[in-house]
Amino acid sequence: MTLPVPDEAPGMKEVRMLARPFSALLAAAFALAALGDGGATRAADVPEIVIGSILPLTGTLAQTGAGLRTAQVLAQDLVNGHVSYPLPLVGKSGLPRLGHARIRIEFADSQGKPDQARAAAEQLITQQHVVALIGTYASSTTATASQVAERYGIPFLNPDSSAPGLTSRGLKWFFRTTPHDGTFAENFFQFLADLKKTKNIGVKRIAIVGEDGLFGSGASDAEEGSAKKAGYDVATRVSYPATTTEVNAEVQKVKASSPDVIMQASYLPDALLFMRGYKQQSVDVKAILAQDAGFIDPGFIRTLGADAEGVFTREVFSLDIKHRNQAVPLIDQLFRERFSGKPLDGNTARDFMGVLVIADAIDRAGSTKPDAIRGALMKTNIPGKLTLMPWNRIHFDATGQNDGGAGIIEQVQDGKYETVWPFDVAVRPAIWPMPAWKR
Amino acid sequence: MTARPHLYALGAIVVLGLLAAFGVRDAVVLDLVFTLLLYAVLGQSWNWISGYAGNISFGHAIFFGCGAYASALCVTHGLTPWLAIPAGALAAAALALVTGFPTLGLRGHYFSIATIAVAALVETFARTTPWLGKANGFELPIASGWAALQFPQKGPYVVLALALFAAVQLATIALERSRLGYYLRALRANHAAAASVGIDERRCKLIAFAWSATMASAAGVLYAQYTLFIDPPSTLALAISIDIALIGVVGGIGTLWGPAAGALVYVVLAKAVALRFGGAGKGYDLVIYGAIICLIAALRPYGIVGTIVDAIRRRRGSIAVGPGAAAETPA
Repeated sequence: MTLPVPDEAPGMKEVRMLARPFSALLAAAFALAALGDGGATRAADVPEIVIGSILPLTGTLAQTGAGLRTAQVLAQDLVNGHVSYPLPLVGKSGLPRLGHARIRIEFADSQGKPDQARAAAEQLITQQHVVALIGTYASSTTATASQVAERYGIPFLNPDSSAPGLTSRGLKWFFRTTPHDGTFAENFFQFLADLKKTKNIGVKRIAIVGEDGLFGSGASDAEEGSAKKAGYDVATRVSYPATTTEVNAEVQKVKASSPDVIMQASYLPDALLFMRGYKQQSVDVKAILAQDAGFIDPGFIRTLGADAEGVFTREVFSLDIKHRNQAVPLIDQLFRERFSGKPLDGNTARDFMGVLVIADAIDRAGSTKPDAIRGALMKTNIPGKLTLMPWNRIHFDATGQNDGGAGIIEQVQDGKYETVWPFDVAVRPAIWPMPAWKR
Repeated sequence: MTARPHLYALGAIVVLGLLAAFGVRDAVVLDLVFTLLLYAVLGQSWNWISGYAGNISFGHAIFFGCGAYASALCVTHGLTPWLAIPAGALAAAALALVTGFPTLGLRGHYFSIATIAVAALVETFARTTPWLGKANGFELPIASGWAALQFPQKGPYVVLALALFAAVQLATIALERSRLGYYLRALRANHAAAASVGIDERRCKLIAFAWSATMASAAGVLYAQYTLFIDPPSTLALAISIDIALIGVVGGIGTLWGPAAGALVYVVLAKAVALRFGGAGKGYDLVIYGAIICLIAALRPYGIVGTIVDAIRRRRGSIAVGPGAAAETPA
């Protein structure tokens, strides 16, 4: 048996007391033995690889941050554990190519603020000596934290920020697994194109509605770009502050432009205002295609009831993906156990996958050197079926963006969100056009 | 009182700061020093209009934002960020004059309300204007060197912040001894009496406000060059304005060293404690900071430096009137 602590000072004292009647030589030999033993313990100890994670653990995004942290710790524990799932690197008792080294995630708080995220990245790199960084959810904090990683030459994996510009900065050390707003907007048009093949949907004019913050304006910009590229008419573009309390003028503007489809990016309170406005002013369109947020909030269907029927919204994740990977319900179950019964969602699933992707890269690198990890990340090619996501694969293009990313589209049918696109994970056919307002 | 002890103190801080800039390698410590100096400058900037002139500003972030946006605009348009220092200062001073002209001659809280309103307008304008980056803000491309005002190491940033802090402190020492400083103090103590001897209240306060805005703008330039990312929530939001005002109030309103003391409390608590305890996700740091603000407000309404000045006066046996003549409460 070895000493519990590989620190010889207390042990030495006992040794000296024992050794008093004997020669000092014996004491020295004893101490050496203890030292050697301690050394053996350290060598036998499984080495640990530290990954830094920056998340909004306090501040207005703290609740989201707590979920993301839980998902990342779950991924860490599954990588270090021995139970196998159809997911990369899970259940191999650590990283096999690094002597089954365990991974440990060291967390730092961004408070959702760009300057705090920057300081957190510096702290993790210079004081915790992390081999890679992961995070940070909000696009603005990802922007500053990834610049620090770039300065220090440390790989940065971003699983969850959707501002398109993040991967057009020419950074060498930045990798993003999640699709960005541009991809999600393109998904809307792929959906329309796919529908065109099966039905005569006759969509020409598109109204783009979005709140004027980072989320809404980014989504609206992407939609406008994709619409023009796909040859649709942008009938109108409406931008409004998310804190508004009435949207009559905005709804009128949409109605006056007589669109076939409304593409909308709103938070919950404003989404509800618009939906009521559309009903009051009988804005009948073939479809409302929404960018998650307010439209996937549990309060959306609860508040609107039957008026929510037929609304389409994009999502990054759905438990319906179980039809492609049976790990989805199992991971969801483990996550619920750790996060007071709340289900796995788009954010937590993406962060869970992010940890697996970086762990997989470190394992394939067979080294903790930043260059080797970066090289391995660039060679990442994980088939979509081995992820929890609706993606085609995880493979990074020259900008560090995962080029296999995709979203899904859900429709409210009988008071529930049902996956209707892409067709290989769809559980129900899309109802097109959505029902007209009953006066 | 002579300015000599203040100059010695400032000299000592500059020497310490330079030692840190060139001797310390730890990025986290240097980040702390930089942030401390930056907030001290912002606090002092706020102190000019709210402490010395006695008109509380709740919109100081927009002057900070002027500098930060000037910097981002210069860099993204291929101009040198050095140009942002005068450009940001001009924009900030102009904004201060426009806000202050109709309100600084009025009694009551019109000025404070105007600063909140203008700040909200400016924030919305930046958030919706394409050439100001809308809600996305700006990311400054990575560069290196004095021409680009960007450095891979933190030492030069600390030197720059130190220089700005020293300049602002020297200007404040000069203000305390200048005619304008005496006019402002007279106005704050009794505006009617001051006006009756011919002091132009609006003019004096506008000058103080414009200088105040200029200082905040310079801090904004430095912030943008340091963080390399700016957006409305991180530079223009009401929360930033309140932080700046808190620093001034906690440290001691209308005192030379108050903002520096306030910044020390703010940064050491809100930042060092956040890095140590914030990771737990329980917000202890914010609770501790909030509790200290409440304590100071309840027990020491004149702030840290106001309390110290008061204690010194008491010991010297001079008439103790609240925080003393150096720190009257604003009218």
